[in-house]
Amino acid sequence: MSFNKILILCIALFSFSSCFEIVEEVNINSQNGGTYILTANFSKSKLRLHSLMKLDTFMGAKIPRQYELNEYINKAEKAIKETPGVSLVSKTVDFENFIFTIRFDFDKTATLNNALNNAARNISPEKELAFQSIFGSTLNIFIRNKIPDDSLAAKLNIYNKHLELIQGASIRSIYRFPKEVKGVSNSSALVSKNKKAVMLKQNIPDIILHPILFTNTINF
Amino acid sequence: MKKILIILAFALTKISFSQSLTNLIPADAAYVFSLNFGQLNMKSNQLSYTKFLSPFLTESYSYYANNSTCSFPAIADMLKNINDYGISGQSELYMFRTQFSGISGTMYLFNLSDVKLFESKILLGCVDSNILLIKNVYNANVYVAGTKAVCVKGNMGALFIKDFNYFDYYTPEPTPPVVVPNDSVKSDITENQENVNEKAVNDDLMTESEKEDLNKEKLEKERKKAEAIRIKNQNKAIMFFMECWLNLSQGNIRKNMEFMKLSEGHHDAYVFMNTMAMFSNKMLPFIYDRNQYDMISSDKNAARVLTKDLSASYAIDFDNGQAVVKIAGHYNKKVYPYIKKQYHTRQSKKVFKYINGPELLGYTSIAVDMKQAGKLYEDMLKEMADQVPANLKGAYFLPAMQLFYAFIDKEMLYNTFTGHNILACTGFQDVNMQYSTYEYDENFNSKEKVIDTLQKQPKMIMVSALGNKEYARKLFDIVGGFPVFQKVNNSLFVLRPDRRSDMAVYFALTPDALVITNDSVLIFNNLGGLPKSKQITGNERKFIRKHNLAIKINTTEMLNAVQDAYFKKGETLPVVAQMMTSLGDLIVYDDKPTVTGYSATAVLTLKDNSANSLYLLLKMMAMVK
Repeated sequence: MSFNKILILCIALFSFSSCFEIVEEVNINSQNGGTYILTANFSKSKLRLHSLMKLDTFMGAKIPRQYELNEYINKAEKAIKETPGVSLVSKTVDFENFIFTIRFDFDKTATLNNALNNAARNISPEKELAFQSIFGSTLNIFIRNKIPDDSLAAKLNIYNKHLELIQGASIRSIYRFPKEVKGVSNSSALVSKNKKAVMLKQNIPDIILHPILFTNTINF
Repeated sequence: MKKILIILAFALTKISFSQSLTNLIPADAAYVFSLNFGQLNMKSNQLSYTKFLSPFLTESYSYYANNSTCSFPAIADMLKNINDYGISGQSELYMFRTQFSGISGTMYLFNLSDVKLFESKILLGCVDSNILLIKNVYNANVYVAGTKAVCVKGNMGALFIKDFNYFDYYTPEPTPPVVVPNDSVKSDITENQENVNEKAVNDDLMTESEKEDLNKEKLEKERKKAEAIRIKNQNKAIMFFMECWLNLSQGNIRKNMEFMKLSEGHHDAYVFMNTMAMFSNKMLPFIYDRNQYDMISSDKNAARVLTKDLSASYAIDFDNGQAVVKIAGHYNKKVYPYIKKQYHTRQSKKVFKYINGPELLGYTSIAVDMKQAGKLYEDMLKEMADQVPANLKGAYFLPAMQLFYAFIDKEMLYNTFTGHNILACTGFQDVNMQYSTYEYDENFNSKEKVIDTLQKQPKMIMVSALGNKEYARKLFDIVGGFPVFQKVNNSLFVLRPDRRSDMAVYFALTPDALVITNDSVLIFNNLGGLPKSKQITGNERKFIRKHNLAIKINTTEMLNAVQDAYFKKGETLPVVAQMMTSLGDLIVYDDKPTVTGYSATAVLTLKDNSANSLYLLLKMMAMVK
C-alpha cells in the first residue's frame, strides 16, 4: 500500500461518524397529479466522502467510483423518464458538495409510485424487487405509507451499532396541497401557516427501526 | 516425573501427528496455511475463532454445483463445527494449493478423532451414489463427487476442492433432431436420433405441440446423458489427481528448510508462501488466467540465480500480554549481497526535525538504499521475464515492463530521494468547512443556506530525505506546474481539494527534504525544523535508527485523541472503550538481514501483561460484529 493510500485511509478512519439529509417534496396539484422532488444532501460529510471515494474498499465495503454513482443516477433518471404519465424529468449532480436532486411531474399518485419503483428496480442489484406502494391517495386524502416495511427494520436492527454511525442523518418530507389541510395523522408533522403544506422531520436510524414514524395520512 | 512423562508423550504425539500431515504436502505447494487447533482452542476460552476463516474459504463455483445430487459439505461448515465432523481439535489444520496433471485446487488436511463419524458425515449429502466414485489407493479411501474429493488415510482426513474451470460445467448441447429428406442421408444419423425422428416427425397422429414436447424430452435425455459422461470423466480426472497426490513422487515440503523452521516454531497459525512455486505454477495473477483450461508449465530452462528458493512466511502467536506476528522473506545466498546493500543504511537524522514529538500518535519509518533496491528488482525482473513461457498471453507483461524501465532516467529515479521516509500522525486539528442545508419559511418554502463549521481532521506528515537537490528541484517544479496546485512560493505549493473548506495539503521543498502535510502551522512557522523541545525524543530516534522498518502506534494516545475529537461527554462505542482499557502500543520493527532471510516482527501489547490476547481480541471482534 502506498504512502498516499495510508494517508487517505487515516483520514477516512478517523471520520467514521456521518451526517446527511434527505428531503422528499411532493407538490400536489388540483388534478391530483403534481411534482416530486428528492434531494440527497451529503455536503456536511463531504470531507469524509472525498477521502472515502479515493479508496477501493472501506471496512470491507466496496466504495463506488464517481462514474459508477453517475451511472446509478442516470439509470434512475432513465427509468423515471420511461414511466408512462411522467414528464419534465430533471436532475442535478454536484460531486464537489455531494448534493443530488431529481425532479419530475406525475399525472397521478399511481404514476409516482410506478416511477419510484422503476427507478429502484433499475439500480438495485436484486433482480426481483417487490413493488412498494409508497404513496396512496383518494379524494382529498394523501397518504405516505410505511416504507421500508418491518421486515427490513427487523433485519437492520441486528446492526444497531452500525446505525449509530449515521445518528446525525435526517429525512424531511414536505407535502404541498392546492387546498387547506384539514388534518394529519402523524402527531410529529407540522402544518404551515397558510395550512397548505405539511412538514415532517425524523432521524433516518429511527425510521429504519420504526418505519411507522414516517407514515402520514393528510386530509385536505 | 509422571507429569513430565505425560507431557513428553503428549508432545511426541503432537510431533508425530504434525509430521504425518506435513509428509503429505507437496514440495511445490504454492502456499501452506496452518492453524494449530490444539493451541488456539486452549487460548480462545470457548470463543469461536474459526468463523473468521470463512471469508477465505469461499467455494466460488458451488453455485454451479448446487444441483448435484451428491455433494460433500462446505469446508467453512466443517471448520466451524469440527467436533460434529469428527475432526481432531488437538492437532493442526493445513490448507495448501497444488496442481497435478492439469488439475489445480486447494487441499485441506487434518487429523480425525472419529474416522467413522467423519466418513458418515461427508457422505450424508450424497443421495445419488451413482455419482460418487470410490477407490482405495495407497491405503487410503478416496471419495470423489462433483468438484471435490475426500480422502481418509488412517486417522488423517483431507478435503480437496478443485479450482473453478468453465469447462467443468460446460456440457455441449445435443443436436436437435432433423427432418430427413431421403434415405441416403438418413444412414448418417445415429440410431437414437432416427427413432426420435420417426416418432416426432413421421407420426401423423401427433399434434405439432405433442411432437415438440417429445423432441424436447428427447433432447433433455441426451443432455442428461452427456452431463453424466462429463461428470464421470471429471471424477476420474480428480481421482487420478488424488492418486498423484498420495504417491507424492516429487517429494514433500519437509525438504524445504525454511518451511521446516516455520513448522517447528509451533506457531498458533502461519502461512508459508512458496513464491517461485507460485510463479512456475502460473498462479501469479497477472500471468495466470484461472479460467484457462490448459495449464502450461514453464518450458524454458533459463538459469535461476536470484529467483531460486524464494519464499515468504507469516506466523502469529497469541501469548499472554501480547500478540506477535513474524513476517519473513527468504532468499538464496546470491540475493543476500543485494539485500545487505539495500538495508545497510539507517534512517536519516534530517527527517526527525519535522515530526512533532509531544503530539505524536503513530509513525512508519522506512530506510532503504533506493539504488540497491532498484538494482535487485531490475535483475530479478529480467530473470523472471526469461522464464515466462512464451505461449502465455501474460508473457507480454514482463517484457513490456522491461521496455518501460529501459526508457526511465534511472539516475533521477534512484538519486532524487535517498529512500529515507517517515509518515506520521501528529494529533488532530480543526478544519473550517462550509456545507449546505435548507431553511424553511412559515409556509415551508425552502431556501439553501451555507453554514460554517469546524471539523476534526488528523494531522498527517510525510517527509522524504533528498538525495540530488537539482533533480528534486526539477521534479518539484514540473509537478507544481499542474493546475490543481496553487503556488505559494518557489518552494511551496498547495492542493485544496474542496473550495468550500480550508482543508489543504502542502508540498514543501526544504534544503534537505520533501515535506507533504496538512499541518499549516508546521508549514508556515517551522519549515526550518521544530524547536528541539518539540521534536521526537531521543529514545524514539534510537529505536527508529536501529531498524530499517519501524512502525509505532501509541494506542492509548491515539484512542484518547479519537475520543476527544469525535465523542462528546465521555460517550464512546463499546469496542473503543474496550480497546482503551485493554490495548497497549503496536510496534513493528525489522531485524538485520541474514544470509537466507529478512524478517520483521509486529507486537501488539496489552495493558495487562497476564491477559489472554486471543480471548481479548476475539471479544473485541465480536463487539465490532
